[in-house]
Amino acid sequence: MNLYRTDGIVLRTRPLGEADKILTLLTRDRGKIEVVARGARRPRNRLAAASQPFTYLKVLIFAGKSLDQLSQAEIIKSFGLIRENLVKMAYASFWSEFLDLLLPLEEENTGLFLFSLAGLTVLEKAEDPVLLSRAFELRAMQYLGYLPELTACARCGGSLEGAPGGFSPDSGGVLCFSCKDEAEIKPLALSAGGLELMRKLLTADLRSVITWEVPAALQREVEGALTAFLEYRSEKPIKSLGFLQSILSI
Amino acid sequence: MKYYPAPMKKLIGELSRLPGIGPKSAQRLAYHLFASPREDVARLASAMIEAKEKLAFCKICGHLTDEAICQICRDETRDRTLLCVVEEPKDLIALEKTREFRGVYHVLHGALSPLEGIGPEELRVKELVARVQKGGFREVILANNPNVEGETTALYLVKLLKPFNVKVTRLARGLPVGGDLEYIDEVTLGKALEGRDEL
Repeated sequence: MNLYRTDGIVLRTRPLGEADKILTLLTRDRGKIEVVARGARRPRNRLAAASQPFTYLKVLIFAGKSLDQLSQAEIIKSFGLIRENLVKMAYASFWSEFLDLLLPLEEENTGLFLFSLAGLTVLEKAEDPVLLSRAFELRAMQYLGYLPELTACARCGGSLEGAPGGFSPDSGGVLCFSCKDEAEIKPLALSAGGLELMRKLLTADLRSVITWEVPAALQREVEGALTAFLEYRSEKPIKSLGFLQSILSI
Repeated sequence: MKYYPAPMKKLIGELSRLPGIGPKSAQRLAYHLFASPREDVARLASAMIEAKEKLAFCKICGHLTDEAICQICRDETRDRTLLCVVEEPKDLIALEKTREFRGVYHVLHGALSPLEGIGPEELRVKELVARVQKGGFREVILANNPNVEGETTALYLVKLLKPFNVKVTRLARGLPVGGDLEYIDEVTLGKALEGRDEL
């Protein structure tokens, strides 16, 4: 029998057939994997509670010919506080979706797994998760190898001293003042304060980020830049972003 | 499939488009239909056409009906101050079978799923808000499925309905009848402990 054990976070689930589900897991030692949870849509099934999004599981998987099958699953943490809060749930959905979009299957990324786990743990406690999400987006991109250029101009490599020229997703990061008109797509506005905030978010402890007080205008600038960059990198619109924005507007 | 005559091929093809029906099941059903008396097959075909042509969604609650207003919404004996919100018509049927609920319903036709891009606009949320806004309800019971999508929908609806000064409740979550405590997951067991009853 070809069984393996690992632990992972459920990034998303989709229905399969009458009563099954396909789970996308971000695992500790195998990267992103897809497994079938047989019967997980039946109420009394022992995998039903384990196959809910954002649950952290210890799993035993049977390696099948095409799709692997979830044989046993033990919930380590169900992140109930996230699921009971609409805003946190919307942020967690957004994180899951972009991780799923940007991660290739079966490429080990233990750093990203541990970081995602830390992100969800802090999200559970966060009162206002806006800045936490920005830090999560930036750091997750770093783990994925898509970190935008924040130290020098993404086009000419020149210094970003003084006011930067803007943020250009297609050029791969921040542009200097003289390159800002050269990018194919007009760069998004980014002030020196916005760039400074991004740099700070990249190195800060997630637990401290939720206590920071940052002017709303700066937050909006960084949000615009990072979401545009994420959508550019994932090459399609991120569906849960619309939901998140509609929740925040109520 | 190339070994079948054209009408059989067409029937198998159409049947295999149904949910949960693979090529083998489709083949079995097609043989069964072929072997059945003509009137049985005609009855099945006309039942399908009739259902498709006559059924619509109730203008008030969104349940299946063959008239403009469904049976439940027309029923004068039902408590019109109690509103139960469900995801699908089949959930409404399940609740009706309990015979415990004598209020009226609102069918959303789905649940919010940010990951699938299903937002409030895709559901009958606007209609629900309009019904509650009109007033007359003393309680709105949210009977969403106990999964992430259902919980998200319930949380969203609570946010929308609270300003109308109506009591909003959710179905309790806990142990299934005939279950075995050992095999119940931690989340359900936790909820069951939370909502325990004094005897």
